[in-house]
Amino acid sequence: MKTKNFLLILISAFVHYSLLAQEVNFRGLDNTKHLIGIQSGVDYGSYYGVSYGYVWRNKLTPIVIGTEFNLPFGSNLVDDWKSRTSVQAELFNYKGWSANARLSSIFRRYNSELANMLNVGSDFTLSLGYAKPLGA
Amino acid sequence: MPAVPSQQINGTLLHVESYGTSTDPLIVVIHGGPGGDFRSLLDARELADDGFHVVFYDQRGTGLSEREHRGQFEDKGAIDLFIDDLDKLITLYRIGPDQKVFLMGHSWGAMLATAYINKYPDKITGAVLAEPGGLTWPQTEDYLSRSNEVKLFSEAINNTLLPESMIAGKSQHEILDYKASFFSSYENAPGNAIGNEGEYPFWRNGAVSAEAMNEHADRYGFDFTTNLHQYTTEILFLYSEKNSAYGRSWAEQVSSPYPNVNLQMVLGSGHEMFFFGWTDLYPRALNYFNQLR
Repeated sequence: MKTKNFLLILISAFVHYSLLAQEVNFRGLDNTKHLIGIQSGVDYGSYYGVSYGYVWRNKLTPIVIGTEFNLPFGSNLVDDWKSRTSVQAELFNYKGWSANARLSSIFRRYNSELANMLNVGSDFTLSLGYAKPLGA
Repeated sequence: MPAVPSQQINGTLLHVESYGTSTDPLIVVIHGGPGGDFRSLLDARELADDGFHVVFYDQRGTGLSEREHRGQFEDKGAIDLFIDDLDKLITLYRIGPDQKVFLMGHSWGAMLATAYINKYPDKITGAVLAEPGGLTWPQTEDYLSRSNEVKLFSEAINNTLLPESMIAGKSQHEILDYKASFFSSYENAPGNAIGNEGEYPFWRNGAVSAEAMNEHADRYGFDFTTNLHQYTTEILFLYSEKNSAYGRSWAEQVSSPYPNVNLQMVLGSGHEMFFFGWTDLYPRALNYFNQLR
């Protein structure tokens, strides 16, 4: 018997605990125009990456136009990767509570001895959080 | 497109290929998995030239055999279903009571061969068993924990899991089988514990049967050794030189319920010894079969 059951457990763990990079705290933006980040997490495997966001200020609400590039850990550096370009804005805030929306396009590459795959996708994320300045 | 050679057996359609003369001693080759297929074992066709009737089959729900509903594999009697399939296959190809019948199983196939011998010790002339993980479920779990140690930051994990993020579909056999094929990337990755040199050929995984049979074993367990003391014929038990998770001591432990064991190491190969180590395996198997024919 092979150990596919062990790996299936891993898959479900990675799916359910995948992390989102570049969550923006719109309360703390002040006059910042450029957001730079590094991230690491699990998302169908363990990964690390960098992200950049440009804060576009307008009359209505700040909008962050961002991109991130993630590589999975492993011996082959760039045979697999995932990039994401997104537009993110705050929908409302109230006493430290903030609701954000993010629309992303995703481009992925996969390579192994069995297959080469390119994949285009998109996702839409709504997030609700509470942010309180230190000492407030 | 030519039809897949197949036989209607025990209520399902099995992919079956046979080589040699039907009156010669019968060798039934049993592939691993569960959920694998016999493509990587096809070098054993060579035994047909040595005067044996060699029969390969893809087990129920895998390879190029008919897909079956998951419930078949979840039922408590699922392993008996696999034993019955094998029994009916032997009945179909055995042309008379005097024809000798051998089993040659690899990995899970060697476990299934043992399950059959445990149930029908009088029906089998001899058996070649290549690295069955274990003959009981606790023993098998022990082996799996060593043979497929999970390395979280490895390329092998990427090769195995990333396709899950790209391929949609959760219930169709076609999609599940394709996704399951990437699991072999894990056990065949560079530095793998079981000593495989790389990928080996296969037709099509049986994702549902593989997953359900693993869950079945976890739920009900199994013990294929309860009656083996009755099988006093010598068996040829093979383990591979490069499988660091197996080795001689594990081979001695797993084979110990058999009263009469000829234990041999296949040189220059890991677990997939029928594909990567056939040149060394073949003369050992042929010599064994010739002694008992």
